[in-house]
Amino acid sequence: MKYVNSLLRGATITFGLLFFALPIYASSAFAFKDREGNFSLAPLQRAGANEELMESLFLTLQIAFGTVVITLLLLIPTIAFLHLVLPQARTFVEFLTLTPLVIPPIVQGVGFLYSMPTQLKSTPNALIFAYVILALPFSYRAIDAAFSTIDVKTLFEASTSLGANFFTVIRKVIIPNVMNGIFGAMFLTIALVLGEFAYASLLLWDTFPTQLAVAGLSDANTAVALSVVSLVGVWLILNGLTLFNRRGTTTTMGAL
Amino acid sequence: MSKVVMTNIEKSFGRTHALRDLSLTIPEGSLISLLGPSGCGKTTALRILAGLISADSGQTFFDSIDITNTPAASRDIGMVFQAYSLFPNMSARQNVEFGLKVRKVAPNEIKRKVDDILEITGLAIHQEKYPHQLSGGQQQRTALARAIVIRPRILLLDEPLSALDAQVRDQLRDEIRRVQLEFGITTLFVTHDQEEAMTISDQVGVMHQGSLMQLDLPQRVYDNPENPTVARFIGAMNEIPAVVAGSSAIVLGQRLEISQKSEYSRAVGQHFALVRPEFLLLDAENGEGEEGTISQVAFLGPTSRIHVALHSGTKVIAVLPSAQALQFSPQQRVRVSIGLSSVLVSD
Repeated sequence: MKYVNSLLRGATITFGLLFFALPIYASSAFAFKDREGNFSLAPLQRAGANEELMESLFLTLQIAFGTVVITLLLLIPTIAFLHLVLPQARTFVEFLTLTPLVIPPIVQGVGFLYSMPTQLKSTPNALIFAYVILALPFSYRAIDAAFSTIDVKTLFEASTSLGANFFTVIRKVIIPNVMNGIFGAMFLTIALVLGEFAYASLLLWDTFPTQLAVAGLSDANTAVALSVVSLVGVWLILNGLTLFNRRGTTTTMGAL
Repeated sequence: MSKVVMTNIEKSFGRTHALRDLSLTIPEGSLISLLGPSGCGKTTALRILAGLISADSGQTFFDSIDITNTPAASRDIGMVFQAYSLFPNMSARQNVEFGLKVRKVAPNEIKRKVDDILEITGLAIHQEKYPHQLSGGQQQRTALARAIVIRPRILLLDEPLSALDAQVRDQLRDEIRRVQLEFGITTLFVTHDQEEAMTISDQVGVMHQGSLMQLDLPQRVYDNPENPTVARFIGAMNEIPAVVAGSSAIVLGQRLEISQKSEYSRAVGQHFALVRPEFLLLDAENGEGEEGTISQVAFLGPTSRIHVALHSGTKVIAVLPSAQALQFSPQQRVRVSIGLSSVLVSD
């Protein structure tokens, strides 16, 4: 029975790894092999020379940064409040965060157009707010799961009883203990922004994914190469940050 | 160190009345325990004192200063929780430093104070460990050190020993008392464990359904319970049918005075005399009292517990010095009487 269990576990893990790794491998093989089948970085060089693509990449990174900042500023205090004061409302809020998955992008896009202030609507920053909402089903879950692994109430009360104010508690006690969830939310949010096409296209902004689609019409290798590099790059950076944070937890975290 | 006074505190959660007109004074430097079953309001009282929840009415004073509306962070308290409450991202030492850093104490002063408290609580060798590397007892000791190092005006202990195993619990209990006396900190200790409360407290307060039934020296709470509720809660108690007649009651064939602290309806009905096992007398000969048969003799070391089934159907327990209990054995017929002149009577 033990043997069967470990076999099943091994098979599941292998299947999971293949599920994620195969498409990335296939994309890489397609993008980075020339006609003779040799490894080549030519698609990335061509991308670097494409000015419009590079501009859209910087704009998208800017939007991703804004989206992450607003997502964290919105979600960390909200989830802390829900865990501390209104735990009975958690199910309802979780349901609310799922709505972007079920409302069609065209409806959401038109809704944004009507609800945005004119000054904001005329800049690509309008997309930040759209992406904050679009990323909610993933970012909320990642952070909420991290909060669920700690006894927020007791930690909050313990630090308050020692004289810490609300912001000190959040900064020094709560955030360091939910960092993995925060990194998870960051990764998912950035990945979503780097790959989101429908909103940007509907709202007529040239972001990385829309430019990538245009570039893909004439040079599919470049488009796929950039997709792979951006996905793997974000994954590596955030994993590096997670590892750094974990090491910090056992060495320097907690120093006020 | 402060004298703490709570006056006429009321608190409800929805329809549940958690505290009813609670008034409590904790003299400076003393340790008072609030003892009672789950849901009696003892933790609510402690949390109101900590400022973690607010009372519906009533006032709280530290040294005559009204702190009723002062937030928890400004009350200058130290608190140890039932759940392990160390900050997981900080080592034992960093946990202890936290309160001092929040108070912006000078670094050299922090080092001196933390070194001292870690030494006193025996944590010096564990100071670099993180909470997940510490045992339950070490975690609670760290929490105690963290609460004391800031020299709080009052130390609040919310069942800090309940999650620990028996041996560690006894050690830490003695340590809490030692440190409390050493620093002279005014302390409120909340527990449902009678032995804990009796062992380390200057005074014990027994709570029941949101009310403080009795606040007294541990010995007096045991020997002179204020009412049948306290008598039933503290220690073991026999409930023996009694026939009330005026100011006296007939119990086990004896006429005994009814204690002034008794609470019973005057109407004709079933009444019980409350008698501690150590006040029951057993006689192998034809003496005073009611006849019964011994069902069990349990040796407890210095004392033995003897279970007797009275012929009237009531079962009672007597506690005798073990040397005296040697003469009794199961199935033996004995006469049971009461070695008191007055008894508590209850419905």
